[in-house]
Amino acid sequence: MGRSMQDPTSAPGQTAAPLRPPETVMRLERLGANYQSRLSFIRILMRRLRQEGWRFDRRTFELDDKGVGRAVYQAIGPERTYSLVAFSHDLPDDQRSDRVIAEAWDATFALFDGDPGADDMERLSANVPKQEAGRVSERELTLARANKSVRLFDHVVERLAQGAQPDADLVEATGYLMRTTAVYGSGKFGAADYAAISGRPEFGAPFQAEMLTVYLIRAFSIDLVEHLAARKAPGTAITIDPALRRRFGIGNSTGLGMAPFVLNHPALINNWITARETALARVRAQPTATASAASRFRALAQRAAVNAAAWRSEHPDQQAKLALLRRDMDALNAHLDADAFERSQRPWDRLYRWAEANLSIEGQEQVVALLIDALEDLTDDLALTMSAQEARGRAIDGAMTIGALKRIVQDVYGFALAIDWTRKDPNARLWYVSAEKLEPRMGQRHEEDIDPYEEPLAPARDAARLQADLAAWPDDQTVAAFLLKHPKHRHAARRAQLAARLPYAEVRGNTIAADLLPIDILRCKLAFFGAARFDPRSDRWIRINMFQGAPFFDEIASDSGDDWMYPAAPDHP
Amino acid sequence: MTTRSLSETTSLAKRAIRGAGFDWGVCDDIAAAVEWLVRHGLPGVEALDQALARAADPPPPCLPITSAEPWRSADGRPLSPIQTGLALADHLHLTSNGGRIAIRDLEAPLLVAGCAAMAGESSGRAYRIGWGALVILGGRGGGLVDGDPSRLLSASNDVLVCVEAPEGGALGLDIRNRRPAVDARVWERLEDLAAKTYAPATEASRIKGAGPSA
Repeated sequence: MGRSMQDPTSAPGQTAAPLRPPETVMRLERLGANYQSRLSFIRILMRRLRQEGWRFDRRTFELDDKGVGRAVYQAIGPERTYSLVAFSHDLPDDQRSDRVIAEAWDATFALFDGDPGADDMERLSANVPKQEAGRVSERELTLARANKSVRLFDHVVERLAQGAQPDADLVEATGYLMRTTAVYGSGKFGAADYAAISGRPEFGAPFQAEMLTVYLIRAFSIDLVEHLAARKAPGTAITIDPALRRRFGIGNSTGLGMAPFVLNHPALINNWITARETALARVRAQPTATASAASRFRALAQRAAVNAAAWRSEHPDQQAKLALLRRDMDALNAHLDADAFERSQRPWDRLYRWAEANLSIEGQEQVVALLIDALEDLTDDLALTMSAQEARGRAIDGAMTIGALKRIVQDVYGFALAIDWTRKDPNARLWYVSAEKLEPRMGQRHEEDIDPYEEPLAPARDAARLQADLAAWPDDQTVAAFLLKHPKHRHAARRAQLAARLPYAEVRGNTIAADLLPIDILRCKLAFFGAARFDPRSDRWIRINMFQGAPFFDEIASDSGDDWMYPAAPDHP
Repeated sequence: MTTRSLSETTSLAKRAIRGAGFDWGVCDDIAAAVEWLVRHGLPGVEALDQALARAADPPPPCLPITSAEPWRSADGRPLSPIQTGLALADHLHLTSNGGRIAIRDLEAPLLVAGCAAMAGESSGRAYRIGWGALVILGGRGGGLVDGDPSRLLSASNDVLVCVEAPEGGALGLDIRNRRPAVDARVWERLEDLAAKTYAPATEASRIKGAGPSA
């Protein structure tokens, strides 16, 4: 069934380009090749900070010679102030773990709504270092923690203490001094519910409080190494050179916990992807290219090639992807050298089609991001469409007929109906939550005794089961009558009805297959955050870098353009 | 006193219902009803606690749904608030064009009313749900319209009646970050049920289930 999706916001008189169909976009392999772009949440945040002239103030910085103590960083917006309260600890190396099951960290944080008083600081110092074992209040918007990347961290302290800059290659190889291992918001552990703050313009786009938290943690990580160097060698210590300082982002270790989010918030995911696909469609619909946009695209393509060359991973699968990406970026740049694409009609659409025909999925999706990034101002309004009112449209439509539901399931989940679910491989995996600190995990159904604990994260299989039972019902009966007899199908029925209205709500893949790569799901969400340098450590654990290249507080106002996330282009002779 | 966020409350509700043995899809709807009630200042968590206290019984027979007669129990036992709430949410279309749903044999109506309210909010409609002297307006601009709030959780032999309220409401009681002040023992019961949804921690699970070496 052809679902015609057009950009509803295209200018009058302009032929809208079709949005790419969900059957293409929502496949796991392509979700796992997602790239950050100007519609990513970090980019949205940084544009706001610059456009609104946010100021920053390090209100408190009380650390001892070992770096233990507390600090408060304030982000002062036009109407409100937010404070990152940081606690820095002395963590023995053998206790350092990035997993949810860790119980101690190098540093712990909360983003306070306003300016914390003495009582707040006391309460926070008693709770924040405990993380999940403590409680925060509705005055806290996020709760987070970070661990040092020890090798680089120690190297930087050492060099600065000696009066020398850190080794640039070493910095580039890791890319961060600290990595967050969780950034909790949205009411977790007692923090403010998102609904409590979503009316504030600064939080209108998704995850802004979380991204602001990470941005402030980045500043803290730099201050921490400079502080330790200064305490170690007061006479000789220096600070990091500003250009090198920008090469430090904040790392993040992400595991399985993020994958359920993508499956459990279909309306939200739909809105993120719709925004991106709409942006792409607008670009492709442009009848011509200005010289400056074409020049900008060429420059970004070169910088993307530099990025691909600098991007490292130890994981063999990722190394294979990177080899393809490098080849693709070379091919893209060669094509741009040979082809004056800007002289043709609908030049961007032509470029996209060239990429589709000639590049790997990684290369294609990098080109999508470059297309969106090249045309500044064309798509930034879409940032406001990326949140979702999840209370609307979540109840089941009981009046729908069985016939209509059957057709929806066939349309959305046709791929699932074609799978032989009696075989072992399609059912091999099982998502569950461990009693051990409630860590989300994935198990082997046929080897472990965990069936009773299965989380509802297998929409493809559940749709197939739904369709099998629907088959016995006459088309003119109602879904309400069916669900009265088969309450176990409520979950699948709701998802199907939602996916019929929201084309990008449903992953077009089997999330319990033997060959599932959970990192594909993680990367989809992380790219929307604005992460880069995806570095999987297993099929379900990934390291990323956030804010690498971003301006620091004193650089935001003067930083021109919204392209700091691409490394500098190589010098031309 | 420790307060829980709305999202924590809803997550706990979902897991508690699952821990009591219901299907995940049932958990989604009932937890959403609890959330609607809590946001409008109504004792949704307590209503769930009451409903789950009955969940130990063998499951009730299927509700016979009609638009002409009141829905009633087929075997003399009080209707399950969970099953009935879902059925009401799914059958709200029977109230269009002046239709009326009446339900007898319902001991604890609040959760059932919450299901209709939640479904109303979802679809952009509003419903007037009453029993005895209590009336709730559910859907846009909803909340408690009439009656003594201290009786919201009381057992009731009254027939629950649900009709569409085309005019909607303007009560403005929807507080999106409301933190329910609930008795600690109620939370504990729900947490005990929720704990049943977590797989036991084992060494093998820790090594193979997650992390960089999985």
